[in-house]
Amino acid sequence: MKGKMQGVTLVADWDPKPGFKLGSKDVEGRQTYLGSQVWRHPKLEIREYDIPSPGPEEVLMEVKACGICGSDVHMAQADKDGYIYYPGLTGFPSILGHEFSGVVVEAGKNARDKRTNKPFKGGEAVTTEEMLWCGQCKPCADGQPNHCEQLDEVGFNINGAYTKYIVLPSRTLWSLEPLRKNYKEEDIFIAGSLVEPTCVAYNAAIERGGGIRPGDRAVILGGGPVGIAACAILKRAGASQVIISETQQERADMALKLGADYHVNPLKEDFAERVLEITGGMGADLFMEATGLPAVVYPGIEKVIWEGRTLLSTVVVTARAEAKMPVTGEVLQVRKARIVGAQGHSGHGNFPRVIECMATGMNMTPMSTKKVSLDELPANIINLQTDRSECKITYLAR
Amino acid sequence: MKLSIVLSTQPAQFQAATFKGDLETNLKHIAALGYDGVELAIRDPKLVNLDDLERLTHACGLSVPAIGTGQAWGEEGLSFTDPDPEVRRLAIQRIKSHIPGAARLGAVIIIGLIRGIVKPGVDPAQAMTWLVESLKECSAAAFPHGIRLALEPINRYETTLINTAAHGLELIKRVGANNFGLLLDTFHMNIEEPDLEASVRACGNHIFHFHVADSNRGYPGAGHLDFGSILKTLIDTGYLGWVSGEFLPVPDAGISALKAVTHLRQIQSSWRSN
Repeated sequence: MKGKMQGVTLVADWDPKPGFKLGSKDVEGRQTYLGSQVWRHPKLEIREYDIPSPGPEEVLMEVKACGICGSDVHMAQADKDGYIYYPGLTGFPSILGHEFSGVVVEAGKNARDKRTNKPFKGGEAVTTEEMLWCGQCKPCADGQPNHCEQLDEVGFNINGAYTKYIVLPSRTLWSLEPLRKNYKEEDIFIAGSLVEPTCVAYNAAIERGGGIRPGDRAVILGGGPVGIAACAILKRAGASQVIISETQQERADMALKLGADYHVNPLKEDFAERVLEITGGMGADLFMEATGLPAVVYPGIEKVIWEGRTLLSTVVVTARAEAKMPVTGEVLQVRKARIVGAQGHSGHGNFPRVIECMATGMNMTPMSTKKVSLDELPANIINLQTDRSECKITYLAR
Repeated sequence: MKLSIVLSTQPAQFQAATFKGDLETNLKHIAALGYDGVELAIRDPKLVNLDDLERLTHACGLSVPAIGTGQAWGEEGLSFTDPDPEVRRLAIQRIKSHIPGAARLGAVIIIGLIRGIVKPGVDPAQAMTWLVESLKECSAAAFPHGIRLALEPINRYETTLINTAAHGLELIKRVGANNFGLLLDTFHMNIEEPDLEASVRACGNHIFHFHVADSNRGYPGAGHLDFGSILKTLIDTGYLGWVSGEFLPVPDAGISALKAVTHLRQIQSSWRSN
């Protein structure tokens, strides 16, 4: 396909902090695994690009919807010294946008549709993983794509989806055709753009955390999109009680709407006492830390485990934070509890299962509370630095 | 086995468009004869009311498996290989204009005589290049809509461009599009192929559509072709598409259509009892 397209691009200066050493996978001037140590003076620009062409095992997707993520906000946000907040893999300039869905408009000869196990016919509605795992390193070969050692991330170090077209490898694509039955056209793609963040929650709660049995109790700390998605998934999985701990009322309301049964506001009440009260003194089987403030919230989790009567609790650390958690080892011993860390959304059957859940009743589209055009993206990404009233803002190609 | 028959949506000079005339009457007749679908020959989609077509075929319980495009050649002289670039451009545009209708009906777009002939003074290799370029462009335009194009190898007396299944397979390689394949027609194959069954097997899953007409271009059963053997071979390749009648309305449209469907259903039931 010939022609030009516009893309919302993050531009920043390569200006490593004193003491920064180029990592083995970093590329001088172009890419680093320690973004907040290197990139300075971030700016969002709308730039023009040639429409790319897919290789033999790739497709060209026409983007229909793409959500804004907290990571996008942090890549565009500078601290007092001008360095970006986002600490991870970044390579600029890149088009941002990594939670998205669209339609296959061109396909390489060997690009295969997982749903049919045959070449793409064209026009298929699809979504994609954001992590483009290499498939060759040891973690990939061992079946752990979320820990790939040669990762490319769409919208982080390679061009993302805040644009019209994007080339993607067929190996990370997943069909949204199951959604056609119960979703009308635009909603298929809005739902599709929510698959990736929902899969972060699914990977953390079910794959890494081990999931729950029907009748179990779950506590989600943090009502951002990942926490809200976890409420939906755990309720669907048969939890008897899903408790959301969240300070902001609108976020709590969204969580209650999409699966949570009870809301605890840790600024207004004692978290541990309230959870023990709700659960009749039992505590919970699964705790998900999705606040990004583990030093603040972990003591409350520990108190629930210690004073509750549930054994074999799992705490899943889902949000990244450069902070230390104060852990009393004895509590884990006496209550036979464990803490695990979760990263990513790829592999393990996460994507197809989330899509099937969405296709059969787990409707996440209410999470998308605001729709914007491409031109409106930069202002909205900047605005999210201070205004968190919208749950999820979605760029819709209209 | 899904059976359809060709119906022209406008008066046509092409003799083997089996049914011609009033659309609604013909659709009802075709459905009453026991066909599952109707292949529509559409010279120019602008002249056709797609809403009506969709409504009427749906009301008669008929699918539309394919759209024939050759009348643009027969009546307007449009072709992919005309030495005049403007004519080639109009032909490409005409085929692309079939895409929305094909997408709504779920139909294969047929590339028959709109590929043209090698006109006097034109280098055959140049004609092939124009053909390949046109097919690449039309296939790429159809792909985002999930629509396929099928080119019909045609006997040597009507064109010198792509007469055999082997020519067709070579062309598929040159075009290189996953949504470009072949329409095999038993009448043309009977003239050109040394062994019809072998050619069907060789084309395998590149067969996107299939025409049946007997050796004398009459209804299946009017000549000497062994449709039992040909169709069994077709089905054994894993073909899940349609078998469509494109034959001369001899002695008339109604009788020939009835004889065709009777002959083909008889073959189908003979498989079941074996």
